Amino acid sequence: MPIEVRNLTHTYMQGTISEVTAIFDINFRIDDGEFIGLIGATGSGKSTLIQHLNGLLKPSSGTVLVDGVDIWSKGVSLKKVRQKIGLVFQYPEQQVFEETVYDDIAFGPKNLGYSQKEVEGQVEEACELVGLDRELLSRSPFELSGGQVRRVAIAGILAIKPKVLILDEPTAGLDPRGRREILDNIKNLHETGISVILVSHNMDDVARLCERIMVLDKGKLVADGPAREVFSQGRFLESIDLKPPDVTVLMEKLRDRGWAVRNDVLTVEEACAEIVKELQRRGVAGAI
Amino acid sequence: MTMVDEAWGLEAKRVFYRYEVDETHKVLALAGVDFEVSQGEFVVVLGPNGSGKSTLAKHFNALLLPDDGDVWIFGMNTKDSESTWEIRRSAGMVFQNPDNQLVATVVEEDVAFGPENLGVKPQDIRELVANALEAVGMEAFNRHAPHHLSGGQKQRVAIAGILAMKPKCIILDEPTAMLDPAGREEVMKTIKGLNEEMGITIIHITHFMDEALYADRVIVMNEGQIVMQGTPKTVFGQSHIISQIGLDVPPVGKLSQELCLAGINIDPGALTVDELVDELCQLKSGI
Ligand SMILES: Nc1ncnc2c1ncn2[C@@H]1O[C@H](COP(=O)(O)OP(=O)(O)O)[C@@H](O)[C@H]1O
Ligand SMILES: Nc1ncnc2c1ncn2[C@@H]1O[C@H](COP(=O)(O)OP(=O)(O)O)[C@@H](O)[C@H]1O
Ligand SMILES: [Mg+2]
Ligand SMILES: [Mg+2]
Repeated sequence: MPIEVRNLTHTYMQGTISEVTAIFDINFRIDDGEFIGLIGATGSGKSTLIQHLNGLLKPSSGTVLVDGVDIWSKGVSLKKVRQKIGLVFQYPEQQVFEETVYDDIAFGPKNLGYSQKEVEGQVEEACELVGLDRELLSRSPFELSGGQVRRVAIAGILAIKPKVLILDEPTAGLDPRGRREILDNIKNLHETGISVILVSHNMDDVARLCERIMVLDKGKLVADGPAREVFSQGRFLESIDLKPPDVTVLMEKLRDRGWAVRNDVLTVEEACAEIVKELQRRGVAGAI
Repeated sequence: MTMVDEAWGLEAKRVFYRYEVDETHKVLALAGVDFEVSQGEFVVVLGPNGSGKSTLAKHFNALLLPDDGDVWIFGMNTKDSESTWEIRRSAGMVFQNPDNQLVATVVEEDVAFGPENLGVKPQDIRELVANALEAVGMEAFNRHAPHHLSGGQKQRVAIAGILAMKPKCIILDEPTAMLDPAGREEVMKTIKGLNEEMGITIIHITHFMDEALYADRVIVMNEGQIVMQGTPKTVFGQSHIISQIGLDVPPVGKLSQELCLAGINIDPGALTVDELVDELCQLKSGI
């Protein structure tokens, strides 16, 4: 299910005095099984961009191709596109409206016309994937914790069995444990072969999980590449109000002080190994 | 009016609080909290969801009253209803969602709202508003519409609205939760500035562990109780308790601890990039 975006531009309220061009001339291709982090300051166009990938927004100009087919060309079923490319909105708790957790998760597959039996199976499977306790299915979504509601929202999308999962800031506002649990779920889902696009403000999380990073700034795609390459551009990121993970910044500062360490480390473990190695090279006691 | 002793800060004494869900079902949200904050302190409160942080915060501006125990705000007991307005004026609250806090269509009107309610004279309000906006670095936006501002700017306006009432303390309940990294830093630097330059007492609740590094003292709550408190260094130094209750040590802190475990002779409590760089650069070779 490769997705290709060509010269994509979106202008809200076109032709009015309040018109805003939210994304401008964007080009990229996403292949099966990728794990992409989409980062950028608030208002940079992240939510606008991802809503084009499953046809929730129509390009003002440019095209979105899924499996090589322009999703806005005649005869393409957008419903099928949305079944293949699932999108979990930002703050999904604001959109939970069914009476029970089960109904909420079952909403998608029911809508797609699956039989009751199939729906049950898919809900079951989705709960399994996100580690949601069966006991919660009969509860009202309003009784759940923030982290649980996020998992219900993700399960609702997984129940339609997408090939691509897009998550818009899925951990925003959660406590550290809630955040870790959601991220572990997403990581496991990716390992089952689903492509994932994760929108996040947490650079540590994105650096740790994502292989490829796309960076938006004021509606333009200003960087797109392996996480190591993108996050080693500290000065550039700072110029657009972003920052690499602290451990990456630390390595850069050690290099400024003459240390021969890599500047593209992304995790605490990598940083530790790299520093110990350099200390051994310098013959510092304790590091041997 | 109760007499206010300038030396007093905020104090919670064996505070218990239960929410009544229905007649048969109560939730114990605070289970005997003892907590003192001195005038001018910057306190960060950490804790998992449901640990009682917001309930405690609401006790500090008399939005909630203890079932058992007492809360004293600058010498005033929150149970004394005659002090309620003075308590709310001297300990203002900022909440998570900036959009729910700004009500006027123009920034300066929003900031003027508090003093107007207190019955301050119009000519004095102008000056209060101008000073408050300047203190948060938003003076250039005084005639702007709040909904056109960024999240960080909105929160700074919300803070200005409280400053205009000349508070001694500001309590912020996850004010950065919905912001991007630049917005978070903007808000943190703003409240740090108010604390350092104006001596305003700050109680800041957050899920971002790195924000604890701004604090003089960190309080960790779990299941309605304070389970740990101290400088950021002492609190994050007890990493087993931190992870047991589901919190995290910030990445640089974790790295310092791992380097120590690997036998490197540095301070395991180094929490910031600059601290750790300095620690590493003073290591000598060949001993
Ligand atoms: N429904 C909308 N109507 C008008 N403007 C919008 C709408 N949604 C977003 N925008 C504008 O488009 C730009 C990009 O917004 P968005 O895609 O939400 O960015 P992000 O998700 O990176 O914060 C912003 O200037 C925003 O104000
Ligand atoms: N309005 C309410 N009614 C019933 N229970 C509540 C209410 N508000 C909070 N609680 C419960 O009180 C406990 C503490 O909540 P809270 O102070 O909001 O914690 P925190 O801010 O640390 O997440 C939790 O168990 C929560 O479910
Ligand atoms: Mg968005
Ligand atoms: Mg709370």
